[in-house]
Amino acid sequence: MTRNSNSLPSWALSLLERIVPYRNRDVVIGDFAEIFHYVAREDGWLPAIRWYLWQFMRSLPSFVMNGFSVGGSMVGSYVKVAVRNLSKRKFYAALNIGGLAIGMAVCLLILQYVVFETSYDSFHENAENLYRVNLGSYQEGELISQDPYTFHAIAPLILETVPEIERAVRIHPSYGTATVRVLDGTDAPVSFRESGVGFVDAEFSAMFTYLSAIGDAETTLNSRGTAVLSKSAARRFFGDTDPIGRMIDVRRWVDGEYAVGAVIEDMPTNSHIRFDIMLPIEDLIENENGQYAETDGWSWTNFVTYVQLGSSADISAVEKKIATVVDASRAESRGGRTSSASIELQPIQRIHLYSDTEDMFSANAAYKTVLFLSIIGIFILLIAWVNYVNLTTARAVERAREVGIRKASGAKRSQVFSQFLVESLFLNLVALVLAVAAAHYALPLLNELVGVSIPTTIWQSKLVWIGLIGIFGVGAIVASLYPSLVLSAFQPISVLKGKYGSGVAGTRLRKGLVVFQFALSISLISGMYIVYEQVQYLRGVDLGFDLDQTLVVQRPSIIDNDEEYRSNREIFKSRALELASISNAAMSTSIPGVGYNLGTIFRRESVPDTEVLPVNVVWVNDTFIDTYKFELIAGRNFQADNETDRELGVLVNEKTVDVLGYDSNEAAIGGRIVFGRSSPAVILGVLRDFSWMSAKSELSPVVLSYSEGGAWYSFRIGTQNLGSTIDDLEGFYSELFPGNTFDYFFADEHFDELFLAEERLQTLVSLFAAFAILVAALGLVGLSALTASQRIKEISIRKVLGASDFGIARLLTGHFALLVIIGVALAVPAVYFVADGWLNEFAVRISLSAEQFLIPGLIVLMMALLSSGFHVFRVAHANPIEGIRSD
Amino acid sequence: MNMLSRTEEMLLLAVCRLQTEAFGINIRKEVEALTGKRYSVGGIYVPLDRLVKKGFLSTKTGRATENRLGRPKRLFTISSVGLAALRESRSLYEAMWASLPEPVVKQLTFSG
Repeated sequence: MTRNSNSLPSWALSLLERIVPYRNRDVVIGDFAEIFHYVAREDGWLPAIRWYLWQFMRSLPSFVMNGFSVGGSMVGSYVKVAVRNLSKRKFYAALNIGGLAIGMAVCLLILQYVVFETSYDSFHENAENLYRVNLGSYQEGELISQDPYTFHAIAPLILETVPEIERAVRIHPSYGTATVRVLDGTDAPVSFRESGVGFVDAEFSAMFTYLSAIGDAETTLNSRGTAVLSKSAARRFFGDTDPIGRMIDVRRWVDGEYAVGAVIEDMPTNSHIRFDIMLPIEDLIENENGQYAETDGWSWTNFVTYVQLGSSADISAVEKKIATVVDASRAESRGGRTSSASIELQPIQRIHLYSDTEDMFSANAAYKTVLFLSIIGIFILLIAWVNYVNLTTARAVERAREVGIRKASGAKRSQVFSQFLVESLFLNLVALVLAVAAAHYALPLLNELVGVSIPTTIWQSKLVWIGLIGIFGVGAIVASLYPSLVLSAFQPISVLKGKYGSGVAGTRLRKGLVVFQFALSISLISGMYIVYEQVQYLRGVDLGFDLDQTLVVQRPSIIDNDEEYRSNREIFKSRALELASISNAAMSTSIPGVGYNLGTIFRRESVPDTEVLPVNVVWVNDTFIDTYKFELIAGRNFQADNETDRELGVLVNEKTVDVLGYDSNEAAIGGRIVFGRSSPAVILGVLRDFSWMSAKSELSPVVLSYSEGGAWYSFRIGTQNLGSTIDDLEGFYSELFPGNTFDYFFADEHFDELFLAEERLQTLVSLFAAFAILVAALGLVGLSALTASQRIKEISIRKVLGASDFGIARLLTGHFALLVIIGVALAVPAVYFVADGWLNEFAVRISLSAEQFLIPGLIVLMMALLSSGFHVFRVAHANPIEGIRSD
Repeated sequence: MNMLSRTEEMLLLAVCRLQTEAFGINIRKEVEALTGKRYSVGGIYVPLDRLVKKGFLSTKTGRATENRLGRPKRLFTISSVGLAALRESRSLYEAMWASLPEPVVKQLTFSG
């Protein structure tokens, strides 16, 4: 038995030893070894290995069949029996397969969502070494947040001074929509509103892996006045014609004309950066009309900085180095005043899931949503499996006789077991196929509900298939094994005598599983209820202003002459006010629900400049607070003809008065405050506290500063002749601001979009609750029908002895009430824990009450009674003679 | 009457032809040479086992060789039941062919 180079390798041998069934093991292995030896001697080792692998694959079916049975294939027969059994009992088959398929489909959809959400930014070639530079903000010496908004001087500085940094790229997103006009030499250029506009450094295309379609993006971004477009933007602007060399005009931050130099493929939907138009950042920073022209790069934090590190770099060391050079350089620019920056390098692949900045390029999904949905998906799958186990073991009694006869005629337990296993696997497989089809067709629906854009190419992801096999594998093992074991365990003698071994243990397990289902259903329903109540509550909170019947028009973006624009703006306003249906008109740089214009620091003039506090600023005109019905509780409004008001006047909310430490609202009037480093202001009036960005966020100091115009024109309009009022406004607009599109919306509808995330959560939880209940109901229908038919004789005798239909029904369904109560008891702590955590993230929240658990409990009880009631009443109502005569 | 299937007949004949060399590998080769049908190394034992179970073949364990890493061969020999079945099959064929009318025989012979 010496081994030489032509012998079968040991791994190949041990593989065979594991796989080949006992009966022919030695002979088959011997055959393999002999032929291998022969092939290896004649053709060489590699062909022999190839031969081995091929033959191994081809022999697999025979190994499996031999493993299952003795002499010939029984698998085919098992499948045949399985199909016969299922088609004989179509009702149960449908319940079983339907329940499983729904559970699997939901789980599969969630799996796709999770795979998609966790795949963000992994497509970059250097994904492992890319980081975003986050800058810390301090409040009273404490780090309150790390956000991605940085100075534009950082990138060039650290690229030069920190050796580990291989590349550093700045991005300046448009923070809103830009107006893009296609200049074709015609008199009326076509204009578009684009939100995906970004000013970027030339290295952008080298650092990130976005596929180019036409031309070279890097050289394009290297020269001023040229633009890189995405394929779909190019198609939008130029149709099917060649975009290279065409001119566009982009207005946002700075106005400029750009020649299209390159086109890239649309950025993948799992990229956290989503630009359609990329422009050289120098065109923004060095533009003499732009806001960055006069600065040294250490004043505005509107830039996002990305770095590429060498693969062996020590992240925390690099963070410290960056902080050191930033502090030194900043102190120099501020005349020696020192400050200490806190720098965090966030791996690019973590940005999407772990950032809490909402307005960064595209909405970031909290990892919590992913986690939450994963848990729900697993729960629904569990419910489905539980159902399956329940239904199958409940049928044990029915099939006991079949097992008895099989065993009496010589079947071994292992054979009966194999038979039931094949039946289970077959059923699982059918459900899986249905689930895959359902998930495929439901993907667009999911996209809409969750607000994501998962491409159908997600099916090509390896992870999805691993998950799919996992779902099937675990389901097949767990959900098939137990019933198969139970069913194959019957003793032929006792079964044929009419004694069933299913016993108390099986019933108890089934009841336990039903309780588990109830608990999950109740949890989901009360979750849905709580989210709904919280959203209603948030909506109902007094905002401190009034958005009803307020129409908002965006200011024109194409302005050729500033003087002319200003006078036309006044004409527009006065013409609008002449309309009978318009009572107020206002102009402002932002409106409630859209955001603040500036986040900065301020202090009272009398305190030292080390005691600064954060504050948000919005610019509004003198009619703004009347139009939006803010309540002035002290002092007065701006007077447009008072120059001091225009220059220095501010209105503040109560919270501001509070944080600045004034004794009363009245005492704050005339108070002098300082913004940033040196902008002084005088408090004119105090407004009752308001929730500018909805009641979701905490009350914070807000200051309204004076500005005559602004990005938004707001009109309070009457309910009558709404259509004609809007038509009139549009007429004035296109006459006074030619070439601009009239974009308008209602302030309350826009404000409502702040609740989009909560509404999506509500929709999802409701949907999943519905699925969970549906699956549980399917299970109960089957279970109660079985119980009823198994107790048919008992029921018949009871009826003969005088029991009423109702009494019988109560007998059969009574225990459900108990199970539901136990379910509620299990659900309460779990839901309380999760919901309390969720609610605590809101500035104002509802408190949890008993009815949020009792009502779902009642709903589930009703569902249980209804789904079991159908069969129960049929049985209870049946003629008892039929039941007694049955055998 | 329990008739042999074509596959069974073919395997039985291969075993007869190979006489004392009727091991799995050789049977596999023989069947392939004769009909072009390629069984896998493991697969050949499935129909052979069935024939053993039906009593057409008997089997005994052969000797082990170095090339087989010490694993035995399995030698198949035809049993009297097997021989009877083959005989029956053959006489059935002959009877079937013999009773053909003259014109059909001609057609079969010369259609070439």
